[in-house]
Amino acid sequence: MHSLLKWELKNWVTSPLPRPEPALFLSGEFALLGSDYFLIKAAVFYSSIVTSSPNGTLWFSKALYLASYLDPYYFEPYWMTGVALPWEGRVEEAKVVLKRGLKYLPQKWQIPFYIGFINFYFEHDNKEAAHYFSIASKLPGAPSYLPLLVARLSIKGGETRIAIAFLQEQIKTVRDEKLKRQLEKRLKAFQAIDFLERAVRKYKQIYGYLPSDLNLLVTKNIISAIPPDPYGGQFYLTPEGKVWSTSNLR
Amino acid sequence: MGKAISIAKVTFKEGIRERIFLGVLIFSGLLFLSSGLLADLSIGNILKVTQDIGLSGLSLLGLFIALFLSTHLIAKDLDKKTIYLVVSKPIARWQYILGKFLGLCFLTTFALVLGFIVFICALFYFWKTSHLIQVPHIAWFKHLLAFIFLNLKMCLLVAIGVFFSSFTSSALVAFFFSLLTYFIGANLQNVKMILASKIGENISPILKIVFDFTYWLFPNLSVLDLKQAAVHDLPLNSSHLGVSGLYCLTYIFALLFLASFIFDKREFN
Repeated sequence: MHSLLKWELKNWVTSPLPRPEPALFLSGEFALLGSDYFLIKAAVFYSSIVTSSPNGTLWFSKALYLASYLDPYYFEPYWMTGVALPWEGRVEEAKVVLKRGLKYLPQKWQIPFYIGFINFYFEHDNKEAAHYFSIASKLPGAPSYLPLLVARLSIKGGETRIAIAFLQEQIKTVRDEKLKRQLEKRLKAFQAIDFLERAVRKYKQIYGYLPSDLNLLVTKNIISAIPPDPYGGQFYLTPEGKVWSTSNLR
Repeated sequence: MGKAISIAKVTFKEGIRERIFLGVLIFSGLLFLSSGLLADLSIGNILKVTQDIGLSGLSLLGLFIALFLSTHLIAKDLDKKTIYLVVSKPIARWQYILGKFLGLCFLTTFALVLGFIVFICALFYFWKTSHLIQVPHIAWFKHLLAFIFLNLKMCLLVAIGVFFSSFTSSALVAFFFSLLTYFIGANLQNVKMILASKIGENISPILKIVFDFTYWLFPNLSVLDLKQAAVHDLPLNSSHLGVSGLYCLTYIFALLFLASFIFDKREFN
């Protein structure tokens, strides 16, 4: 893309956002169009970001809140909030938007599912997660594995596998190619983490203790190579035996 | 009534000949036809965006014709002195007001029906050719209801335009007042909602009294707005719809009565 056009696009996308109340007041009967407009801006922003900055992610969370505020019955802003916002480090903002969505769209299983996922994966609050997953599992169209997921929450660990299942579920319904690529990139990273975590468990089974370094998995011939992080970081082993990346997957 | 119908027919023909009418109609047609392409910029259920563009486009089309032509055509009669031809004949002034109102309502309805046909055909085409994984259900009947209530709203706006034209001498002033009334009327519900929220706790009681007064004086246009219900297939209460329709008709009647009364007392120089 021409650099001037890129600059124009960036300025259009991240231009200052109005506060929700005046926006609702000024848009009047055209609030539905306003919601569409801010969601398009948020989608363009998300599919074009290379590295996220705190200002950028704050803008992104505000744009999604605005889109859901102007048309609270519109599912897509909640969907995007659940799928993208927590990964950008905006967990609290995502919960605010999604809990508002519960009020307006109580029949959509995805909304309590996203809140449950945030509780489970980002906040490590299994009790709250089980509560929301259980709400989601009773709603029409909910995937059949949800009750099993509720049961698995009592078992410690398994976050990576659940994150993979979550991302695979979202990729199935994405139409936008750029957005799909973003989700696939994240899925690829989690599959690499899952691969490494399985290798770490195998190492522990053989030697009785955790490896001090992931490179040991290669030198001890458990795996042939450490897969690359699609976000450009380096995978490492935490003292708890979990695999994570220096890129923080952002 | 026959005389009012004759004036209505003349007003309708006069409106059709206005270039602005044709321009707005062509612009809306193009907007509806391209709504599917514009909606493609969005994510997920793009048919929702198509419906938003279509229904909002219809509102805009009606708004422009109702407000602009209602204030413009009466002012034109006064400006070009053609009003003398009418008042010199055995036609009561209320018949002139009623005739103008009916003619403008026919004109607005005619434009809206044309727009609605184009919009529904375009929506049906985009719905049938959609490549969405889950093709959403479209509440066709609620779209028709939304369209009927949009028509009612536009008739109310025509009555507002006629009312302001009955005592102002300039089309611009009448247009400005009508637009202001529309803006207040369209936002009454939103402001009520904002005042009921946490933000409302910090607002002074005097401002709240002003709002209460405004709420009862100005027409609450959002009760006639069924766009959201049509797009999201939200449940509609038939008695609520009946009351809203009656509210609109009462308002129209009151405005026309007032406009006739004022116009009757008016002197033409």
